[in-house]
Amino acid sequence: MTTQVRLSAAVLAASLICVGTPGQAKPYVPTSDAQVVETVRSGASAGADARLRQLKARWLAQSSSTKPQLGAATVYARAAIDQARREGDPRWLGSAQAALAPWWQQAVPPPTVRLLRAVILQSNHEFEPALQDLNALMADPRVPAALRAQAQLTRASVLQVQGRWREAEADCQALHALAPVESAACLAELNGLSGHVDKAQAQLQRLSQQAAAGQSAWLTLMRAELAERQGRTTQALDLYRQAIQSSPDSYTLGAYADCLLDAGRPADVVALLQSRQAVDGLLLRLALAWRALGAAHAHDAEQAVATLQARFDAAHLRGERVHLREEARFELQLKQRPAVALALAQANWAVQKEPADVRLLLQAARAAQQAQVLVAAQQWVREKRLVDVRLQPLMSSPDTIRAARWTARS
Amino acid sequence: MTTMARWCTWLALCLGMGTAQAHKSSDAYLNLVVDGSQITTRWDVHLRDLDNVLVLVLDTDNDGQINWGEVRSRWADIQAAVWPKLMLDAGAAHCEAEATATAPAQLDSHSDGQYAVLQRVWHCASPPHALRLHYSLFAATDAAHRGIVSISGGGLKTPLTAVLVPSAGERRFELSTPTPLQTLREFVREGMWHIATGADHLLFLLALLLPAVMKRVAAGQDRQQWQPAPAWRPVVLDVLRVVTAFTVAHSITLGLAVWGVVSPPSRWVESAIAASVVFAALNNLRPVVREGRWVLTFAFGLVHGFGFASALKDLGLADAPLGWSLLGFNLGVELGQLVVVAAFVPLAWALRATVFYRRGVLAGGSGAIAMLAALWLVERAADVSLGLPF
Repeated sequence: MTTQVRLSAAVLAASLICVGTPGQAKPYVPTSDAQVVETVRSGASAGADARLRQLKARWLAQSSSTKPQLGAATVYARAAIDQARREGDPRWLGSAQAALAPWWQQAVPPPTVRLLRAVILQSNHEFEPALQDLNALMADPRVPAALRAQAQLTRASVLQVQGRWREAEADCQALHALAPVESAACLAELNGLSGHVDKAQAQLQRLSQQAAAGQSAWLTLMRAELAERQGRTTQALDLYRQAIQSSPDSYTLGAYADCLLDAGRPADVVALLQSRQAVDGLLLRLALAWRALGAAHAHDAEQAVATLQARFDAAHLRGERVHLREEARFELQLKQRPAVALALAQANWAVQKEPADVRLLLQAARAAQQAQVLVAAQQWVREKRLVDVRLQPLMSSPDTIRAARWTARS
Repeated sequence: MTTMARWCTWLALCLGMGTAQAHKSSDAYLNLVVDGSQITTRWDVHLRDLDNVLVLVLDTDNDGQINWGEVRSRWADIQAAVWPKLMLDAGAAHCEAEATATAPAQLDSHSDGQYAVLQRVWHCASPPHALRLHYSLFAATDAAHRGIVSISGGGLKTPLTAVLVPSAGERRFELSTPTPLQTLREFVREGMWHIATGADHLLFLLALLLPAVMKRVAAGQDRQQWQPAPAWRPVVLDVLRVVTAFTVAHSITLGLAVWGVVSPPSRWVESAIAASVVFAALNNLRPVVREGRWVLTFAFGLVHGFGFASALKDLGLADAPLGWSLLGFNLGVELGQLVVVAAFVPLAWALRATVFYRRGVLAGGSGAIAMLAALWLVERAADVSLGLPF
């Protein structure tokens, strides 16, 4: 912990030198009572908000009693985690963690709490502590089978994000009996990542047709991502549109926006994300779209870049390093600082290894002309047999880079 | 859908979220400016966080948006919910927040939204050298909330900054190193204040001084009574002996306790102090110890020293060099004592021959002191409150 504190202190000091003391701006008084000053939720959460408040009230009512009730706390924590996902606002994760506070520090908390703890940890990209909790849940025979299955599903997801596809496959396979749809979908996705794209596509399509109402949204999302990696852009965009309709959360919106940007449709990105600027990742895509639209929106782009810079600086101030991928992309594509971007991309790569992460690493290595890093990343792609058409332009040999260097030197 | 299936679906949805989060958690910005004996505080709290505090619910029409009217109408409640979560302690500088924060409702725009701007002023008895902050905003409801504090002024060359974790304990910020003279002056003041408000110490002293102007003489067989002392020189010597014994004794134990050599439990110390007052007062009515009163005073003085030590420790000794604060405090206590002695002894000398003094002040006064101290003893030993005014 001390290293983290020292690092945070150093970052804090450095940030303040650049940013100046926080909170020094002049306060203002809005001119009219009707003026809207803050949005508490986007349209995505309209229905869930009332229930969330109800659950929170219930949790708070009994949280001050001497014996904290597990039920009220965990139900609220789940709802808060859900809200965090919908809104893309991690303050809800903090709230969920607060609900689990009586058990959070325990080495062996009750199984439900432990599972929720793992979910919250992995949302904050603390994958190793999350895996510790999940492995412990899996290894404990007293944990009910249903909960163990949920732990296994979570573990499969974390392993997948870390690029440990073989291990994720083993976990997904084991879930076949208890969670057939999730198991099949997980296996299909892993197939799709590791080169068996047609098989994966067929599997997911079949699942989607059989799926129940609540499951179709994320199945559609999976199909969209697979189609995008296969290069079937029209179909991908169609599927994303479907996914957005049922579940317009920040992750889906971001993925859809990326697909639109790759397809050369920045105007659609602007229409999609204009009202969701509160989420940093979405503002990033919006800024990229404005940049792509040229001189007409140059001012909007610059403002977005400035806001993003301020937000990243504010996050540094509190020592947060969760959004390395977005920050690396910001430095590479908006600030045009390849060396900084590469450092961030590498730091990100140490934590997570999804297709978007390797794409970013390849782009940053190429832009920063770091042949060794580029070659290592390309090697990883080949070993994993990752099929992703977006990576094709980045897979060419770095000899071209070496040649350019020679030319520059002579 | 079965519960299991619902759980798994929910999980599957949530697990995709890890990569989506690109937004920082809740922060509040706390800005302290120290200007002489005044600390101006500005606290920026995100409107969304305030809305999340159940008792506040700013979005009253539940349209997903907060408008200015909704904020303005709850401004007093916002202040009442937020300010108690910041405890500021400046040790010997005695900083107190003004009763009600009077700054009007204002907002500020930060990178991630609109924040309510709360302002308040703390007034100190003297310029503070160090500040101790205890931050507990949203401690129970958001485990990821942080207070980003910046302190400037008060002799600092560059602003001090830190990230405060709610309810993670006190954080200490040193503004300037006080000169020995400043420390001395502050703690002399503290010592004098402590003896002036320390009823038990004052009454002990008084109980010792009451018979100083009298002399115990035989008055018939087996009986003795108090008579006015004939000469002033032995009286002065006796007072000097007693007061010096008290001073030396409490200085010794004050030093021992402050330097952590001896730390007796406070309940024991407070009870023993009360007992000492009872004994000293009763001794005036039925003298058990006569000639060697200074020995008695020395013994009890040791206990009183521990009592002073706890008061001194409450002032935050880390804020100043220990030796100087100890010296200053002790000097203050002595000065206070001297004031009491100088005020009381000449008056007692003048009145010593009167019946009023012998019966009323010496006998009656000692009796009253003994009774009050006995009540204190009961209160302190049994850890109960008898509702005494002092």
